[in-house]
Amino acid sequence: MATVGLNEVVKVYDNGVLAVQDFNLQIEDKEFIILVGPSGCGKSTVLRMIAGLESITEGEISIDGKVVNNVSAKDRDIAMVFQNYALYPHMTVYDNIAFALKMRKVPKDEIDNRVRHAAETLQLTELLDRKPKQLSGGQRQRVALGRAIVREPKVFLMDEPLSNLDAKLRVEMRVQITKLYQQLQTTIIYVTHDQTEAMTMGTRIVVMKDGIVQQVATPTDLYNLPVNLFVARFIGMPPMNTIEGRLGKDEAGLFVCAEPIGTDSKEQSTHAVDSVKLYLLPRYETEEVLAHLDRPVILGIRPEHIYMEPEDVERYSDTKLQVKAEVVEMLGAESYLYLKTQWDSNLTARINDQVHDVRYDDMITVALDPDHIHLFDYETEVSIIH
Amino acid sequence: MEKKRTQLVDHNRVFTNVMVWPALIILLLTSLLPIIYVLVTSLTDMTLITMNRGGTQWVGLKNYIDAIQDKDFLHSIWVTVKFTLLAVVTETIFGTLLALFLHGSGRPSKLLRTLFLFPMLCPPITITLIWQTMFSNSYGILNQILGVFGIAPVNWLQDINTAFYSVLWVDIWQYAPFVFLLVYVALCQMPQDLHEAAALDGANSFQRLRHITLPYLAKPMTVVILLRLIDTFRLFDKVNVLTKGGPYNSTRTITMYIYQRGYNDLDIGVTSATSILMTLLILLIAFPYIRSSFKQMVQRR
Repeated sequence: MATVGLNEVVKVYDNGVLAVQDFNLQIEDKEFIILVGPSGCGKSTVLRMIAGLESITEGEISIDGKVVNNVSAKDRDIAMVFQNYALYPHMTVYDNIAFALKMRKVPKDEIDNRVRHAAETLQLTELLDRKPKQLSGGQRQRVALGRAIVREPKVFLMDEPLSNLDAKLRVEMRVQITKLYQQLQTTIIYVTHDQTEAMTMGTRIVVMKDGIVQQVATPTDLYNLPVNLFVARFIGMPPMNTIEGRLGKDEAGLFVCAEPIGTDSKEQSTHAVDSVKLYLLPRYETEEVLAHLDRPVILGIRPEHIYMEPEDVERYSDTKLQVKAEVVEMLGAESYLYLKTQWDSNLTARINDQVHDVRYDDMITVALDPDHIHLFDYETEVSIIH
Repeated sequence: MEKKRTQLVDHNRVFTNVMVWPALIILLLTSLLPIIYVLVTSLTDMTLITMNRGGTQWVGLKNYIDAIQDKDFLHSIWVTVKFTLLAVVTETIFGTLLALFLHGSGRPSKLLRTLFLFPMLCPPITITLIWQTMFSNSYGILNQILGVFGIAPVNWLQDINTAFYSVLWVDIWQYAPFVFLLVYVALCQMPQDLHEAAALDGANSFQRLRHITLPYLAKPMTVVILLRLIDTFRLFDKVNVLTKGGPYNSTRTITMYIYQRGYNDLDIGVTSATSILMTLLILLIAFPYIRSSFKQMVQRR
């Protein structure tokens, strides 16, 4: 139960690699913070710096308001769950869980009580006499969790704890960790590259890329209001669609004239594609958006906001598009449509139904939900709507 | 389809047989036959003189009974056991400490690692001759160094108080690196996150060594110790070059005893019987190792 503060933290490895830049984050008590990003983005390094397993090049890390830069790992009162579990191979499950308490010279009968209680919480009671070798992946993961919770530490750190499990077990363990969090009411910092884990478990998510924090927000805000194109594409499955175009204005209002930016204009004219105008709602007419008039922008739209039902297309006729169907994936409850626009860019639509009547090469008309259009600056890829 | 498959298997079996038989025949000729021959001669009173003239008699287990009652033979077993235990224990401690030291030193130096391995890579006879020169009474470097401090020269290899330990030292010097190598490899294979987990669990570096690293090393170290036990028990080259079993039999190992009974006394019956006895002793030591590696083999199947 503690707060964790990271203030202008920088990590440069001995070989000169800059792993983390100017990392600022205040973690409140009982928060479930997720650090997420592609591999090599520095998320694990941040976690290891908090744990005390990596030195801090610059900046300060504090736990409960006390700077811990020079406190060694063993004295920080932090528990960590490792990706490969890191169970002590020669010890039984019981001894693995009890080890930290033995090191802290907790009385024997109290150790016994706490180990058995933790084992009960994680349904490990039957396995206490086994060695790690005799356990399945999911059981090992639970032992690793047990080793952490038995200590009642200030902060829990978890470094991709589910990435070695198969898909089904991962979902089960995800739920179990969420339950554990609700029971324990403690601060958890969790590293993952899996955006589903991030979205489902965290109270706040930190998205990182190349050692730099991109956005810190609740799952809902992150999904609805990504601050830049990277976050927009990273969160959500299938990822957000992007359409390059030029921002324009006529009597009907603001629009994005869809056309590939950066190709030769002469070549474009020979292709003679009818330019498609996608009109924006009046509320998008802010100063920041107007500043991009006649300049290239990127329009973003999530797959579930592309509609193909005739009445929807009719309703949103200001944002309709002619597209060619390429692949239809029927997943049961929903279908993914992989589409190609006239100017040869790809779109994915997610239809909340079973789609049977669309074949390869069919021309269909779809409409974008104007309420859920995102706009990004073409150069900086920063969102220009808020 | 089924038929074709069985044909393929049959063909494979023929091929395997063809490949295995030459090796098997050579093994039979060079190992099994001599063993049988030794077993046979150990039951006779054959000597090098009676060997080709006939007149060799069956004596039953007499050679074995004589050997067990021979004080010199029993003494050689004692020397061998003492030597083996002291050598293996010291080698294990030295080698493990070296490995822990080098592995724990942050960035292990490749130069040091190679230097540590050097004694093991040299042929034993070379090592032995080098040390013989260094131990030399009149021109050896050890006595020269002692001389600098005004200490009288020590007759390392002929003094009853020092000969045994001098040979012992050469063996330790050569084979501690072997322990070092295997323990070092095991240390390198040890997952780093075990140390990290233990550190976060509140263990200091000594506790980590005691509760995590050493238990982790237990298995590879058992193998190393067994290999060294078996190998040291058969020690011959160093003794033969340095002391020939002397002074006063203080370095006369079993192999040395057998060698001298065979080549000096020409007594083939006794030599054979004591060889068989020594083989049995080695098998006794090797038994746990053979059993565990056999188990692993079965498991792999």
